[in-house]
Amino acid sequence: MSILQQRRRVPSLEARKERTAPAAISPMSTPEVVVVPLRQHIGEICHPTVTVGERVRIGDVIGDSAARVSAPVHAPVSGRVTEIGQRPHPVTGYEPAVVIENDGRDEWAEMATIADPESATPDELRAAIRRAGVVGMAGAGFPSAAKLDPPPDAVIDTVIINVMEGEPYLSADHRIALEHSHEAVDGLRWIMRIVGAPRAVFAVEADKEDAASSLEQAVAAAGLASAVEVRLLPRDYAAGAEKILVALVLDREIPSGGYPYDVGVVSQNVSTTVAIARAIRHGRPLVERVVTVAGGGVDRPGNYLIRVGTPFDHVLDQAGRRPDVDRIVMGGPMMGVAQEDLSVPVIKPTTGVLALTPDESRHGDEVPCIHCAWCVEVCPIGLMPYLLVDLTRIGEPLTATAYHIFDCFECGLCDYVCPSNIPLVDVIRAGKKAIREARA
Amino acid sequence: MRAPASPHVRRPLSKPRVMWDVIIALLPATAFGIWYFGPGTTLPQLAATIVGAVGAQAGVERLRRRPISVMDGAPWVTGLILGLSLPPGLNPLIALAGGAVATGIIKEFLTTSTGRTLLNPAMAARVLMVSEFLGPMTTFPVDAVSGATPLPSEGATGYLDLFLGTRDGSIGETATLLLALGGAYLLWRGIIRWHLPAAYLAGVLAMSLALGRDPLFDLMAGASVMTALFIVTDPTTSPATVRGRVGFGIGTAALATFIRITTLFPTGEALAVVLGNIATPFIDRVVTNRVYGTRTRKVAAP
Repeated sequence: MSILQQRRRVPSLEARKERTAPAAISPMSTPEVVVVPLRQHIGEICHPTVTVGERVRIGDVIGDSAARVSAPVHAPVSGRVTEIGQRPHPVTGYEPAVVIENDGRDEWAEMATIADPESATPDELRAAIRRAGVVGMAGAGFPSAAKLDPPPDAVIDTVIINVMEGEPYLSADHRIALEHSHEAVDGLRWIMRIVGAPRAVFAVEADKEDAASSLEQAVAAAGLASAVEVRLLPRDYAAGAEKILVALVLDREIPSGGYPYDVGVVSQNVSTTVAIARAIRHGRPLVERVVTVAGGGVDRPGNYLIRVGTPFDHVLDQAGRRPDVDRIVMGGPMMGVAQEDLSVPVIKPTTGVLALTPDESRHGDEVPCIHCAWCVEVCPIGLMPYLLVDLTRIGEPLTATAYHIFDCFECGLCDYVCPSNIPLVDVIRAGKKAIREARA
Repeated sequence: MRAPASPHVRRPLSKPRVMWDVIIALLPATAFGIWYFGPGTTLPQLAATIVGAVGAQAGVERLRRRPISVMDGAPWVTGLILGLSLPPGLNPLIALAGGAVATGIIKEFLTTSTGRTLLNPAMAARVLMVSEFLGPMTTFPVDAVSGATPLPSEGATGYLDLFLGTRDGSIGETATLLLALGGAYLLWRGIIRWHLPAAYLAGVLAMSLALGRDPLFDLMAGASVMTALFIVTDPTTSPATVRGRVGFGIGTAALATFIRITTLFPTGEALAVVLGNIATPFIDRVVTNRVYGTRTRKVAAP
């Protein structure tokens, strides 16, 4: 039986995109000071390549690493480096960061470009992507050059470009696909060339029909209609997760603990794809991104083009911050990270900044589990979430590995449906941590 | 700022709503029982089991210094289901004790290693009550029924009577039609799923046929419909996966029907459900869903 038929669809996960989906991308003003973390991706952290007092222009490399899974970090404004030290970070708590005082002149450094990308080798194209510091922009931040470098024995037959964006509120990818469809198709072309894939699919969630038709026109204009399909998929929050998307589009399952290339697939998010096109065409580094700013806690929700390193405080002020806010979340409400300190900066994988009012966010104390099994029924990968929680809480997390706790990618659906308010994702996360510590 | 863990939104369906939905679903059959058997022989019994169940749980929670949770509806459901399974006119003190045992002992203390109630409290209490008070628990006082409604004559209970509930029986387990209506409501609300009731009814059907009986009669007589829709579907004591539920449902139903027909034990359904409940934690460990990216349903070695 297909894994997709095994699960129960969740009613009432409202999209809440009425105010953001129609909002065209608009640039946000740059702050006076930016804080650029040296860790904005999965993999090796960068070391600073500038010193305090140094003047930088937009696009100057300020942090780099020699590791394969890493990506350089660039100055997002022109100005002077005033400090290099530990600063609050939206995902990990604290990380070393380069603080730059913005001189407001927006001077760009000269960009290293590929003279003739059409005749460049895959290695040269990957190098250009890495040079531009491109990482996955959907939230995880995996360095793209590494993702587009599957092992030599892997045969990639399909590239999937993810335009699902099932998280409520978020519409940055939607607007990118709609407004920059030609660049998205261009980026896809480079990805197909790099991994040697003969065909590709734009996977678009059904509520983004306008983006789908825009992409279809761009595909036709690029003469790729025979190789590239634009496919509308039913609205379904979990379908945006890579594992589920591969199953949905190709009826293939990534083996437990494996990678998409194990089943002949490379996938990229659409915003990342556009960043790849710009890196290859113009050598343009990833120093800004479209961020959905939304929630009842801001007066002017929208999709803003924001420089990396812009503090959340600045973002919220610019979007019209209101006082009645329950929590500020980086990312979507299902998988995003709530922030204690609003001096944290926007980073490359920041899809959204949400100011949720008490009405919009969840409340209530935990009550005992009634074993209703809604968590089991909605889990998109067939786990028994309540059992993982039980095993973790009674101090048997190692048994939870037998029930595939490490396959959980923390989509949050079990937690969302739980009538007893049990923080399943938080406990499962703690269980994974306890197992790793027990093994170390 | 407050920074709680993700997810930051929640489905607007809480445990109290689930429990009150079950009570709403039972109301038509309850009302019918009160009207048909008369309030004098039904209301004191129902009130006693509910008071016993709610009071005992509150008392135990108080003694254990836990938050008093009775307003989430769960002990009210337990008390109501137990009350509906009793014969009209039962001594209310027995009903009160049964309700108290259901939540105060079975629900609160008979738990699995992970702290979950093992047995369906109402059914386990019923088994104990039958063992302790065999006479009163199996006496259906025909003369106690109010004169307004003509009873079906002895032995001539037809399909229509079985369907409508105009027959001897427990307070709230006779009205097949109204129970089905309540079950439909729970299905529509998404509180229960169809697999377990269907499996239970299929099990009754199969055992009835195997024993050479009239399956339609066995489906509507006794407490089959009540058990299929409201008792085996108790989420705490039934398996979590669809496949586990199907096996549990068929097994419990076959056992219940077998006991009811071939033995003198007067409450086959309750005994079978309790035995099935004991198997549930084991079923849940072994009968799991296939996990994405794995080939078999086998539980992996740690």
